[in-house]
Amino acid sequence: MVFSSLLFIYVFFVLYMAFYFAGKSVAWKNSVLIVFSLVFYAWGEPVYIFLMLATAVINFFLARLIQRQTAKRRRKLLLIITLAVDFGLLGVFKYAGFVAGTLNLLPFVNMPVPVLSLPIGISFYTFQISSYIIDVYRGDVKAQRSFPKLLLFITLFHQLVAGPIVRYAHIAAEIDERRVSYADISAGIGRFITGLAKKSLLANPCGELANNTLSAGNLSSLSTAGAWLGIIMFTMQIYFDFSAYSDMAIGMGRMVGFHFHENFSYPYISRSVAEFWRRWHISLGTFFRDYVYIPLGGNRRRVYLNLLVVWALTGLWHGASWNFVLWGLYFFVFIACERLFLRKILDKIPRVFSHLYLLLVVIIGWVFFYFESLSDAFLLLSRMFGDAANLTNLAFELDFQNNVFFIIIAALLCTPIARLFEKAAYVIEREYSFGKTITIVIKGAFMAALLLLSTISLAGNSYNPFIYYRF
Amino acid sequence: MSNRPYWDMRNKKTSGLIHRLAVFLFFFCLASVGVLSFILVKPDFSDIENRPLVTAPAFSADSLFSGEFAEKFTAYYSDTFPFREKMIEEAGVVRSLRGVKAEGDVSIHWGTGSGDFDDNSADAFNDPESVLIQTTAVSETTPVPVTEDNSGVLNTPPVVTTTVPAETDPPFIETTVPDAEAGAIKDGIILVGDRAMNLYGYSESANARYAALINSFAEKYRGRIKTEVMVVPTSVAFYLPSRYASMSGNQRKAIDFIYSKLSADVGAIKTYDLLARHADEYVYFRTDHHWTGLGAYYAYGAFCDYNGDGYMPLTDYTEIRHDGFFGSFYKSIGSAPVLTQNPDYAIVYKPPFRYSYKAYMDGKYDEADAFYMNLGWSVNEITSSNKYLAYSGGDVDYGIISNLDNTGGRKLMISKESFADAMIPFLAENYSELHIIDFRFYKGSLSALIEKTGIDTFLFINATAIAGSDAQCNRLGALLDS
Repeated sequence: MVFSSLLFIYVFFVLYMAFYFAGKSVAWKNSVLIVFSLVFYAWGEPVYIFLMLATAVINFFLARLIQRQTAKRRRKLLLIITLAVDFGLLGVFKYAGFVAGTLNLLPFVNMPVPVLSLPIGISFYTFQISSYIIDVYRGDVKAQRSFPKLLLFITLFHQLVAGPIVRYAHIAAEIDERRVSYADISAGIGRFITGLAKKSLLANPCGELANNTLSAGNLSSLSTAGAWLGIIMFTMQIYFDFSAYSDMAIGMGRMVGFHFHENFSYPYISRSVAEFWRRWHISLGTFFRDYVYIPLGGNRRRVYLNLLVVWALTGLWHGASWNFVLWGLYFFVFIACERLFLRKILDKIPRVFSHLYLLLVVIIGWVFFYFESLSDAFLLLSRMFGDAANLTNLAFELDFQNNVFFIIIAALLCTPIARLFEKAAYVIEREYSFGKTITIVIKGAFMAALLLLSTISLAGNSYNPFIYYRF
Repeated sequence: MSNRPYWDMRNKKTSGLIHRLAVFLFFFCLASVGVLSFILVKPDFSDIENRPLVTAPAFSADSLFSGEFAEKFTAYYSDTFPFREKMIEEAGVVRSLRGVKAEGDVSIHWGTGSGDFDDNSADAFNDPESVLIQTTAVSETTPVPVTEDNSGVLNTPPVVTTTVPAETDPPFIETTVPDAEAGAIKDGIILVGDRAMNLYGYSESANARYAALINSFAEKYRGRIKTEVMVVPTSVAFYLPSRYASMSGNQRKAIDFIYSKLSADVGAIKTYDLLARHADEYVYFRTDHHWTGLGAYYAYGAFCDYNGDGYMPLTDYTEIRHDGFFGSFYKSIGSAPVLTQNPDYAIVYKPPFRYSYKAYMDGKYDEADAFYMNLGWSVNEITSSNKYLAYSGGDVDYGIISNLDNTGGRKLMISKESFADAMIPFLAENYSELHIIDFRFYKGSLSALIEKTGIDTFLFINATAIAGSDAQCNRLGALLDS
């Protein structure tokens, strides 16, 4: 099931909340979470759910073994075994076809390419569970003694299919005890509706425009401006879509007392690639930092090799295909250059240029993300940089004019412009005695309007893709 | 920097009452809609989109574990969501606010998604399964069994079915490659003022294939059957402002090209200039990809002229006007407000001669599967907003119209898609028997049927967008081989 479906919002979510708040004890609430999470997952993966359950069982026992084991070497061996199992499963289901396909490129190799459908969310839950295992091994957290509680951590539907990657350490205490006030629930609802609106009112129309422009048959007739429009719309689509899922996850967590870490922080306002990756999919970046980069030696030794490994893995995480590896390595090049010399220049030049630099790098990066085929990617790049019959054409003019207000609003909403409203609200609250009431009523009305518009858009528009099947 | 969102309340003194109220209101609204979605009567047909809605899937262990049940149920739920049709209209209004119309009051609407997640309006041409769903729905027509009593000798056909076969022809969203004309764009609908049109993608190779298929047919029956072809332009040929002309392929060139490739003894019936001359009349719909009965009548005239036949003036037919026609473009664009406010109307023509129209569908061609249809349906028989059905009842696999007033004994067979539907009421005038094959659906053997019926003339009648489509040529080729 996906969050942006009417069945989820008006049936699944309502039932889940009703059951959740029907009981008082944490045990009841946790049971409701587990049952609904399993139903949620089974709705989309009625078979692979057993794979996820098996992963949970294996990790539960191995974590306990690791904790009990005192001999250092044995602890390490157990850790390696556990990680081998977890990443082995990920490897088989996500990368087997890719590896076989790549090896077949070699002469004398001709092996069958396994075709396995990718279990939804496997990249997310594998990373979550391995962070738990490593933290237990390091002694940072205690191994969970209750299987249902560990199962809850792994299966929690809030972030299961599209992130953020929640670490066990972050919510371990909240699994046992959590408190919510009406203000929390109301804030969570606001966050959830914001995410829903981002997905249905911003991401979907962006995606529609991007796909229409960049569809393979059109590439040959694209104008320069059309090529830029297409990839810029994809740039906005992937941000709105991905951060919308995180918003909805964070909002749903908030409603029941979980505090997930933020996953996006206006990435497109960054002024360097390094900063961009501190603002984009934060939970993935910190995962690689804490579990790969630092253990490899971090900034202290072989820093560029460490960066290379991290960025190759980051690319590969997004999909089992060479274009994603290339996409990751592309960022490695810029990060390395920034470390070497670019950072100093970027700090000195007027801000507008560093913003432009970052946007250019990221937008071109998305070309390799969007097209699995490298020849299509380079075809689009050549269209973007002048090798097109025309600077603009009628198709572009129509697309642009027919969507001009939407494009401007969407671009503005990639920036923290909403903060202005926050400031205005603050002023009203300070200046008037009923200020707080007024602002809450206005916010409430705004959220109600967003919910209505989102519902209309989900029911009335057919374009509503789920773009994380590859992750 | 702070990551706290702007609605995040920091002031603990905030009246908890308002939050409590907001929370209850939110869940009350969600729950009410949720309950409504189950207690309201579920519609099974979407008028605005002119398609049967997904029905509740049957539960079984197999469908559960294959994921099919979940997928179908999700589709069923969103398809039958309360007030969905109203929401489609509202979404169209919201969409129209995304920008401004370009010069000449023009906007562009690209093809409707392609096999995306949750995409319930998948285009039938691209999705073989949805063709199946649609054709299955057609069978909801109550077939009228053929009996001795109602074997049809009247102007009013025996038992009139109130449900009309679902129109099985989606707008021309084609995958033809514009190989000859750079700049021409496929799979887009252009809205000019209150008229929507399909952009035409010119494909020389597909057009050549179409001509070759017909030539081989003519070759096979040379000396026994007269082979004739009528390729009909679509509306975009006549109503596209010159500023945008380069966006659509040249249909005149396409028709001329096809005709130039035909064998000398294949009759090529020209309609382009004729329709161009009448373009200021109501010869094409604005919300639908078809032509009107009037447009079809002019083309029928060209067919009769070619064969040296006379034909009745339109005034001899009984006119029936169907208002409130929201056609295929209206659906594809997703309810553009300008079309909502300016629906089409269809004037259908009831022939004065006595006839019977026997039809077969769903691949069932036994006598027991036959049922009767009529020509020129009355207003209360067509409840769907797809008034195009009113001409001849929609597409069937195979139909036979016997003109009981024509004893000349000539027999005509046509291979067609839905474009011919508006012409069918006229076509039987000069023939004792008119055999109608929908080349997309007929699953029997064509050669056997030709032998059995003993026809003397065979007419291929297709719109340019169909003739110049590789996918459709595949289907036509399969029929001609059968």
